[in-house]
Amino acid sequence: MSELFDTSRIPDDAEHWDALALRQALRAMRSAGPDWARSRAGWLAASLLLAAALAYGLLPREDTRLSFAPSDPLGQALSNGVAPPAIAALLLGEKGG
Amino acid sequence: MRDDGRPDAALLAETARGDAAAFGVLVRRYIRPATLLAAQLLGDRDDAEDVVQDAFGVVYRRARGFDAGRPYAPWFYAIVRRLAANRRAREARRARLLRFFGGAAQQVAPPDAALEAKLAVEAVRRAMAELSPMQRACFELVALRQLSNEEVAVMHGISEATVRQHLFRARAALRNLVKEVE
Repeated sequence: MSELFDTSRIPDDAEHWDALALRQALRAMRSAGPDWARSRAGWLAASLLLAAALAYGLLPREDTRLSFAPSDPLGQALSNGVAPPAIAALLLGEKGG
Repeated sequence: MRDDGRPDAALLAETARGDAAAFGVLVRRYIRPATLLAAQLLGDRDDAEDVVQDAFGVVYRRARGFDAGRPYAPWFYAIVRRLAANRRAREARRARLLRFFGGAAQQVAPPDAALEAKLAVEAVRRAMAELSPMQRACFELVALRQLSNEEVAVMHGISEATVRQHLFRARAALRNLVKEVE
């Protein structure tokens, strides 16, 4: 920066600096949002997080999973059971049922 | 906002803990040299105050992450200088665009054109216009604004020896110029 200006227009008494300091401190505190909001990388990260949150919200939850379960006994057993059914039970049940 | 002499690092640590009064003391301690520095870099009082306010905003937001082992003043003045350089670049781009599109760029009067100081001070200021920018800046801050060589060195990011050199040359040049005027 080659050009430097003179400061003759800047008042230089204590009252001026006191008032300016008070005003600027208040404004600086008021305008101080979170850091991420002021950088492009921050906005990108925030956007990705938001997109991830939205995508997670759109994923099938438990109730939707159940409604899409197959209606046949084997499909129901696989979808609704807390533990996977024993193979023998499935095979015998299918044959016997 | 009475300055109780607490070190900058302590004020900054308390600012980080949400102590608004500590931040106020820090702002009051640095507002004068920071505004003078920004005014030297920008040539406009309002621009200078805006830049200094932005710089204090940066300090407030980054107080928590500030390394207490580092000195505060060089970091703070570097922020002021960077924000002032950004503003000057933006203004220059704006002026170029205005010229390009045929708009008459507003002619800004030189900062000392409306000087209403006493005659002796005016003579010194006229003579000061003959100095190099850095000689003038150092002379103004030390001789007219009573800042220390050390403070001016930190403000402009140069060594104290360089400040002394600028002052020496400025005083010599001014003595010669004032003699010529007389």
